[in-house]
Amino acid sequence: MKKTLTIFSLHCCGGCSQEFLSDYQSIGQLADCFDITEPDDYGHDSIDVALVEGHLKSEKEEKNLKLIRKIAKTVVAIGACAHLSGVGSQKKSTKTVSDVIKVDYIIPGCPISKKELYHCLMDLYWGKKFTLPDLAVCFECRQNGNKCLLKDNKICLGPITRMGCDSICVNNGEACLGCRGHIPAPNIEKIKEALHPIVQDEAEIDHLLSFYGNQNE
Amino acid sequence: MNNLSAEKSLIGKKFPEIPIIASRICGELSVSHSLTAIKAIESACGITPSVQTEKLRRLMLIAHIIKSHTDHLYQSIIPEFLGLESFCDLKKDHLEIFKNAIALQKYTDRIFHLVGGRAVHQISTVSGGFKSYPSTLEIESLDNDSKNIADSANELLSLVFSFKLPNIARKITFLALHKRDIYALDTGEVWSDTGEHFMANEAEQFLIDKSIADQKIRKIFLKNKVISAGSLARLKLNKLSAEIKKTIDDAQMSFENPYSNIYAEAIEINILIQESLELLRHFAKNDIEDEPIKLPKKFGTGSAVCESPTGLLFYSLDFDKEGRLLKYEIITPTELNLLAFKNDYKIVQKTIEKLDKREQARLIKLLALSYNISLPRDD
Repeated sequence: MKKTLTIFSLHCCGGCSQEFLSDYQSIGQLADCFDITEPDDYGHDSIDVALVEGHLKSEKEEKNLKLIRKIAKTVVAIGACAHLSGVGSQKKSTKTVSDVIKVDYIIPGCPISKKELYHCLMDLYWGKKFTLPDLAVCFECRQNGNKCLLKDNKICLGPITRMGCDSICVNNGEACLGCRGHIPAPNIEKIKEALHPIVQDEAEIDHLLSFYGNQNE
Repeated sequence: MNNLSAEKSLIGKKFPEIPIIASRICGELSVSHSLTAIKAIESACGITPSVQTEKLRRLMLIAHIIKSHTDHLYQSIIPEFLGLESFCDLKKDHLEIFKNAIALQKYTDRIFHLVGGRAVHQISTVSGGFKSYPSTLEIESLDNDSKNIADSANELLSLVFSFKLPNIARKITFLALHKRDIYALDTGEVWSDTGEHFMANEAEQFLIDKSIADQKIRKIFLKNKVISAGSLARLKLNKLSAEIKKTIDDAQMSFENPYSNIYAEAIEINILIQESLELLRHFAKNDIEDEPIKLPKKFGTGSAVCESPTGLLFYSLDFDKEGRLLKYEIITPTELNLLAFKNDYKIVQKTIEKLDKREQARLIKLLALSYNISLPRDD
């Protein structure tokens, strides 16, 4: 029997829902298990799975999010805006989804890895517990044969960032800027020590460490 | 959907971060935002990109427009005309159409994987060049696998042309990039079909904001004229092949009909698929060089304009001497097209007054679907 899946978009660019819906073959397969809908209003009786992207900036949004929590059996926060507040967010005036409601699962990233989200949804469908990997991006980076940016005197937050993206940024010549959030018990002091010779300014290091929002999960 | 938090956070950022943040203003138009920001940075910093960089960026922008139109047609328009609840029903009830959609989607995905890194929030595109390049082998492989993609585009065109469009006619002023001998997407002058021509740095003299102070979305006029930007405007203002002109004539497509955007997107996919294949062949024959990234010579003010899937996107960026952004001006395709959409809404409402309520609702819904507008959040 199919389960219901509704996508809710709060303050964000919509990139994560865009990613989710972009692989037609996978969506076609998911649609065998889920009725996928966007909300017309918040008047559903009950939803099996609510995907929530974006951060919150108003009381009205918090009220709507609490309604979603009430009607959804499972809430999955998707993307860096929902998880960490996201690029450009102001700590004082922005809340993450977890700041307002209990979240069952988080799919991190900016944007998310659609494969990771599909995997999570199929686990949910079959009643399995989905877990994110706890290792750092360095694990994937090494497997992909990339040269270590930090050892090459270049910025990278890979050692403290959760893997699952297949080190896509480093594969394409860019640094990891931590969009997937921290691994459990990240060694922040060590990464700051590693970055000091490269980025002398303390404020600049703090800026890099919070590029995708508040990392204090 | 527009992320105003990301947009406002541009101020004070160093120039390498600008395209990363700009991309996150709108997920659907992330390629256009990052590319236009990059070109505005290059204009501000005295960087002239190499011919190879220009060609790779063009391939990327072509893939972006094809992907956006493909998403729009298969996820919104085609299910509407076939009487389906959603795109997912295509697999169950129209498997061949669904397979065709997959072919087009996978083609653009492979281009993004090679050039830029991914479709949403690209990675390797930076001011001055690229941080990573595809290998000739990867390009050849994609070229070899794409022998039937032009047929897929043609199948989509035949399907879309089988849909009868509501017949509305109204006057509008079209606005698009124009350059001689090329389908202009990222170079050239901005042209209107009423004789105005201007460059990106002259935009504020021609594009007038007439919105009321507390309105969240600006209303942009071309002097006093309501604008239409996007696929119809590009087809109107670019030189087209005899074949494409005949296609438009045979379909009896009227540029004055806002619903014609549906046909225009399918026609554009066909035009751009052809050019993407030519670019892939070019890169398969001419090895891509691992060019160093060109660095800024100075910092100042720069402007750029690119076509996005839904119309022109303007960026003007002003940097201090350390390369930090002091101020910006962005004009989005939504701001250019919103007034036309609102006017067309009123015209269509008046035209369909005498129809039954169900038909009225269908035609209004179809008008909204024909426009592919990305609205900003309240902020």
